[in-house]
Amino acid sequence: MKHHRKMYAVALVIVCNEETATDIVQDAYVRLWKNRTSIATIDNTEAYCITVVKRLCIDNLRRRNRETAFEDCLSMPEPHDEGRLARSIEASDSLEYVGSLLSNLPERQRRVVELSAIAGMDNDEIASATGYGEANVRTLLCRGRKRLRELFGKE
Amino acid sequence: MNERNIHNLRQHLAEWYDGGMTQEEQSQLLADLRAADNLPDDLQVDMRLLESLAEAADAINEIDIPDDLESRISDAIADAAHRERNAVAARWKKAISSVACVAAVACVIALICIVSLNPTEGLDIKSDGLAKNGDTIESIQTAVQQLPMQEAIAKFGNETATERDNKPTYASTTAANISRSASSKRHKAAKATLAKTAAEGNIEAEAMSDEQMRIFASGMQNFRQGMKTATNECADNFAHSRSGAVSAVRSSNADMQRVRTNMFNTNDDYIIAL
Repeated sequence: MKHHRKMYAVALVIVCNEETATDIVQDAYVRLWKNRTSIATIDNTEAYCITVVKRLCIDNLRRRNRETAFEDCLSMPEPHDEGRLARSIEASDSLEYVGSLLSNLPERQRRVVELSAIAGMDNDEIASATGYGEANVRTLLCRGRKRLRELFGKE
Repeated sequence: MNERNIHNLRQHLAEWYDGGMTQEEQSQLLADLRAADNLPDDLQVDMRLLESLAEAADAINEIDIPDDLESRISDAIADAAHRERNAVAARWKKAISSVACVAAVACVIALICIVSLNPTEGLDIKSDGLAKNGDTIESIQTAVQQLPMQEAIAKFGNETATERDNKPTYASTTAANISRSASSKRHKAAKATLAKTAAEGNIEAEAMSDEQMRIFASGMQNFRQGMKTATNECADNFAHSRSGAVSAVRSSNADMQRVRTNMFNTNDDYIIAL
């Protein structure tokens, strides 16, 4: 279980809920255990594990009413939600700095940039997880990154 | 760093700011920026931004995780393993049950075939016994018919006129009594009646009655002997039939035992094959 920490962090960033993230990591490990014979032939097991977590997170978000879930995530953050990056900020100066930059972005831009930069998701994965179209994701990323660059240049 | 490389880096950065690029391409872009020397100031800012994001991505490994996460993962895997074992056991049970059912059906079919192709010895013996019983009945009838009634009646032809007329009646009565009943009690009653009748006759009649009694006694002896022979034959035939039936049942039991042995062997072979 050497990747469980990162798997949990990725799941937490994507689903914005500690309990759900824990369940997803459990499911991911069960799935990995069932495929234990094929995992032996994989070179980069960490990337494989993260990919499994991402897919489970996307499935989880799809099962929920995607728009509602995402709006809830943005507009009515749960108590756990407050700490998803704050928890990271406590752990790292880099995260603290990036977190402070991200907090200045509009919610949707922040969400998309977070999924791309922190969770390491590609645009199609972000589109699946958020329910946005890929073009919309690209637009939000574009604006978010440019806004980050402006904020970063001021520092 | 030449202008061309700077131009390429700017193009890639523009693509990144445009919202494109995969994670691998982003990593490659950061690596190229880090490898470049004498970067313009604006590109250095871009590089620091990308580095900060990459460090933040790496730093999520340091976030707090639930205390029970590892134990929950272990429990989930143990539960999955338990379910998998149960599923395997269920598949084995199903397979063995299927094989047993097929073997049982095959055994029943085989038994039916064996019975239809080779009628049991017991049935033959039973038929034989029934046939012999028929013979025995015929022998009984013959013995009854051969009772010395006619002989006695013929001998009464020498009696006196007064008694001669009654003798056939006595003989017929006695014969009727004997043929109507096989019980010794009735035979005794018949003999008593006959003796009484003889006592009531004259001396010749008494003498003839003695002779008659002797003849009847002889007839009764023959009759008893015939009955005994018939009874013995019946008993023999019955014993023969019973022996045949027992033999047939034993033969069936032996067949069943062979079938069971074959079934167990088939099960063993199947389990070994699996």
